[in-house]
Amino acid sequence: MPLIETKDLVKKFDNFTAVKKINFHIQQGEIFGLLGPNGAGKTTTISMLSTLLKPSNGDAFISGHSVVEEPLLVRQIIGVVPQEIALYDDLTAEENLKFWGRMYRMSGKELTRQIEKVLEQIGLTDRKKDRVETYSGGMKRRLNIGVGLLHQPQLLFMDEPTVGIDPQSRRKILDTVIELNQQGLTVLYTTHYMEEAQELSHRVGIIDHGEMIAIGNQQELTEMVGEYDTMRLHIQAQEDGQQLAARLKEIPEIIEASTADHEIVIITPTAEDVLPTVINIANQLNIKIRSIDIQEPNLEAVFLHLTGRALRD
Amino acid sequence: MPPVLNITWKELLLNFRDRSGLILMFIAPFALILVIGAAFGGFSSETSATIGQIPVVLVNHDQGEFSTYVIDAFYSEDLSDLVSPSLNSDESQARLAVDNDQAAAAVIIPANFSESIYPKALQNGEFPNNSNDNPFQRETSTIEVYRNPSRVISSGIIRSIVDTILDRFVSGGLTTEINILQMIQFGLITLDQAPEIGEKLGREAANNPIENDWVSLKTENFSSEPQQTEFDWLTYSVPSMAILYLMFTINAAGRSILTEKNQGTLSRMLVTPTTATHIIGGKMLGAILTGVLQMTVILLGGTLLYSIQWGSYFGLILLTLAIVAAATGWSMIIAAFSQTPGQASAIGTAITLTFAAAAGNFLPRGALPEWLQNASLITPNGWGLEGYTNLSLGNGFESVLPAIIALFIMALVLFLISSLIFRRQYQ
Repeated sequence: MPLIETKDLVKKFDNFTAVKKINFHIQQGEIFGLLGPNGAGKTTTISMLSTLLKPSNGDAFISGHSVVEEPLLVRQIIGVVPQEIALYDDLTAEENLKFWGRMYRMSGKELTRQIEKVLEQIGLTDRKKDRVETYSGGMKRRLNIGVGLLHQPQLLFMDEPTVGIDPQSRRKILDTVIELNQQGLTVLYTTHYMEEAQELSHRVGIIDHGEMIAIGNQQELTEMVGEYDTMRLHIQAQEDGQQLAARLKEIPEIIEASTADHEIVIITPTAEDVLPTVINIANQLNIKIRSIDIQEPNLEAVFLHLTGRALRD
Repeated sequence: MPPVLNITWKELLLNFRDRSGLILMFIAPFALILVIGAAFGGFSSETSATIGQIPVVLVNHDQGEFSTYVIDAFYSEDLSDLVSPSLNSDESQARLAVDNDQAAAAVIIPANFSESIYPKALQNGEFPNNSNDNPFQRETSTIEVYRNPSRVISSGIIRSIVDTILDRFVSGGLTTEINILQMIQFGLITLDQAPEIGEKLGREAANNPIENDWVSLKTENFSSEPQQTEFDWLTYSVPSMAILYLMFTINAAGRSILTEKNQGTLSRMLVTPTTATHIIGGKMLGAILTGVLQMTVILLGGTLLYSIQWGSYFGLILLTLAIVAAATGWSMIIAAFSQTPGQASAIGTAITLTFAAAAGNFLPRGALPEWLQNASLITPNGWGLEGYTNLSLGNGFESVLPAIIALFIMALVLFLISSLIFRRQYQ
């Protein structure tokens, strides 16, 4: 029996449908990456699975318990690491952990032991008596994760846990997720960073505009787009991007060309062959290219292939 | 620890770690109470804490013996700590002393005072022949207590002393009349014997209370622990400021629901195995305990500062609990109808100040128009001020029972409405 199984899960907010009949399952011990751009419906999906939001239609089952009918049972099984840092700044790390542990009806030696264990796990033992307001962003993120682990859940929902932190803290968090999974924890990890989804996930679900547009392991997903390369052109002036992308789409060897921030993302079967042409066109248009990055087939290419847009559009 | 108490514990911890919150909770109301004390203490030569040795001028126009009992009473040892009497035969000088704030009051005994107590007809045995006529027809006399308006409490005490003396004289005189009339009707004495017996009974009735009952009665009420019987702005300012700042504190507690919603901790609580009702309950309990502690500190401090005498401490405790509960109910309603902490803060401040102005937190409630006094009973402030004023005037528990009931009903209704809204929002 899968640990998570959704059945036509729908969430509507007035006239807007945030999640449209999503169906997927996650097996015990898996890291499942939910990949999609901002506003795709990742957080809404997690909110329904964690019983915070009631589905407008459909249902989901966690370890066989309906999120609609048995929310309190579901909450005992899951841990949630929200996207925002949901902690009390005026309390110390230890006091925060104590508070959240008690919310899961932990007490006494069991609670003390778990607090020590989690503090060790997230590397904050030395700072446990300090108020959270004195912590760096990365430390707060780690404590935010620690709260989700405290009651030893079977399943951990992590909603974009690395947003807005430095690379070092990000690396530490990713390592922690891998370590926790090795210890048997099942993780549902949402992100809009393709690299994170690729590194962590056993399987990935790609979500866009509330719809699950693809599910599979990395190999299965990249096979959808064939053996295409992804070429990223970093340009100086963002406003030049649309013009250049439009010209590049006219080249037969280029499958897709889209803009994101100061980037143009190009999907092509032969990146090295089209590169001179791309540079020529940029020169003709007087567009300065600052750097070029060529990647082998990846989830970014899959997303671009499926939606016609880059992940960070 | 059950989740509800866990949330309450967290609320208390956060409330008492917030320095600006503590200033608003305790320092600001005390500062205002002291400012009011300094301002009104400056206009008046007394506060309720400094009553004692009340200067009073006695003017005796009466030549009879009963007026001397009044004078003697003021000079009695039992009242020596409370009043400082002086005799003056010139009435205008006595009034001037009061006008110049040299005395709290002047007691002016009219010339016919003794005559009105013990009429000459009774003294001389001159009874009318017609049995339907009242044989004890007497002149009326009025003792005037000329009061100093700036010494509200002291002059009130002098008036009370005189009232009590007069009550004794009147009751003594009437008792004598009834006794003699009954004795004549039943043939126990003749009209000839009436003067002698009447004089004896009258003297006993007038003498005994002064020598025995009366002084002891007044000593109990007025000597070392003066009982306040009139409105006093300083006393009023203590519960007034306590309620005003309670509303600010409790509003902040209600607003914290929205703050927690914004910072994500409310959502995080809602995905723990705890119901929304328990979460809101825990937060409300935290607000109530914070409010009770704040009220206790301010009321206790004010009581010690101004020597306030409360008519019933049981009533005081219940009234305080009821006000905090009602204030919490209002803050929950404000939070339930607000979308953001900023919105709740603006609405809460507006409501707090409107309630305070309408109910009489900024000026004596009695000075407000009657319709406003009635209308403001939808606020915790209105009922609270009525209740605390009653208790500070020495009235007992029964005087605040309506306020306590009304406030608890108000709290219950507001809790129910806000709970329904929160349940819809969060569950």
